Amino acid sequence: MPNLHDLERRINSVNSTKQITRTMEMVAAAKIRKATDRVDAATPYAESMSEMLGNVAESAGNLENALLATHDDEKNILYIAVVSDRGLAGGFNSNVLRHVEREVHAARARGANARVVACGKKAITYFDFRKIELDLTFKDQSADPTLDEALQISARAIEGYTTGEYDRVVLVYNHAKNAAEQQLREEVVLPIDAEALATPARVQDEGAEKAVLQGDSIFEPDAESVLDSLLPAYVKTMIYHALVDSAAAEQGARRTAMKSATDNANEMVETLQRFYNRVRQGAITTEINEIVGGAAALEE
Amino acid sequence: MASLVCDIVTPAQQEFSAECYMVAVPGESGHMGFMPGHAPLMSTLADGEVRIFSDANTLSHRFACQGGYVQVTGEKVIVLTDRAVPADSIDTADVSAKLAEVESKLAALEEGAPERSVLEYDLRWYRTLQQIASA
Repeated sequence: MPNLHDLERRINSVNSTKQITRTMEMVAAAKIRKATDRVDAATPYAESMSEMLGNVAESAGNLENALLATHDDEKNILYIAVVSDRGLAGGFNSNVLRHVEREVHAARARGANARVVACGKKAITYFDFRKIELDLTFKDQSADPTLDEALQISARAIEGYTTGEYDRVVLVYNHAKNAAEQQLREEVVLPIDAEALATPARVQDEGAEKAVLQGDSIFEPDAESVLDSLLPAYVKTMIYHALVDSAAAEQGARRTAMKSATDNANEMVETLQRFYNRVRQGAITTEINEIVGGAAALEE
Repeated sequence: MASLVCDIVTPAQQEFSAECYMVAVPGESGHMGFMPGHAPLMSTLADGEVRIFSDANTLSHRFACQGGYVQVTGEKVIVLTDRAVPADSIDTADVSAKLAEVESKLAALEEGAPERSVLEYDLRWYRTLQQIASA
């Protein structure tokens, strides 16, 4: 039977762990608000951007741009893995990382090369350890993603795609579905699927008359130049949105993980406390028995 | 009187949204003004000042903007820009200090360094701010 002292020590240690997890839960809950506000603030730009691109794609008709053209042979693929700098967020990091790793292996099995842009310290160590080649790395900004980061990633992706270094660019991140739920998302950044962009706009056009009016849009300087500058900006927006979204998802995931850790700690303390009481009662009973036994022996 | 809704949106947030009489933007191929009922138009923007008139004689808002796009439909003008700052809130001393800092950083970097593009981008922004503030 374990002694009381050991049990007491264990209870104390679980209690102090619980204090930490509960604090982290509260901190994450407070940060969720800020992170989701940022997602909301970034949404109008992203929406207007896709709407504009859809309009141009539709009006300009026959589009030719390096970023829209698919490469026939998919030899080199770039994955952009967006995770966190810090752990203790449940499956938040590992979901993305494992998914990317699987994709990389699948690509290699097909005979293609795959490289990774790692956003977040966790991604850097994970891929470094597994000897997966990294293209760009970013750390210490997963909680507050900056436009500069998105700009650098998109510049690299666009450069790689236009020079033929990469034939496909894929973005993998956690989408914050709501404060409690995250969803793994995989989006193809390049080539840009112009048809998918143009479709939502077309659905809105109920009458043929409106469609004709839309086609009359004026472009300054001309449709091609607008498209040329709009496409890179669209890629940048897409990446920035993923970074911001992932930051919100991280806080959500951390809160959920810390909540269940706190619950588990509570349960554990309860079990340990009960066990402690039983052991203590057992010790008292033994002691009484000994005294009674001793007294009875003296009487005889 | 018909009016026009003008939105100025940056990737980080929606900077401005209000009804107005006329909007003037620095298009890549020259300044343009939009009034209600303007034909649908889409243009790339140069760095410069977006001016918003609440009526024919009142310049109600001025924004310093860097690059971006403008989309005009008959009743709405959407300005998508990389950065936007209200012209009244530009702190000239602060901008000059930042400008000097970026310039010295740029001077320290060698030609072709990857950081240059970001710094040059900042440089353009601070120069635009300075120009607008002094105008």
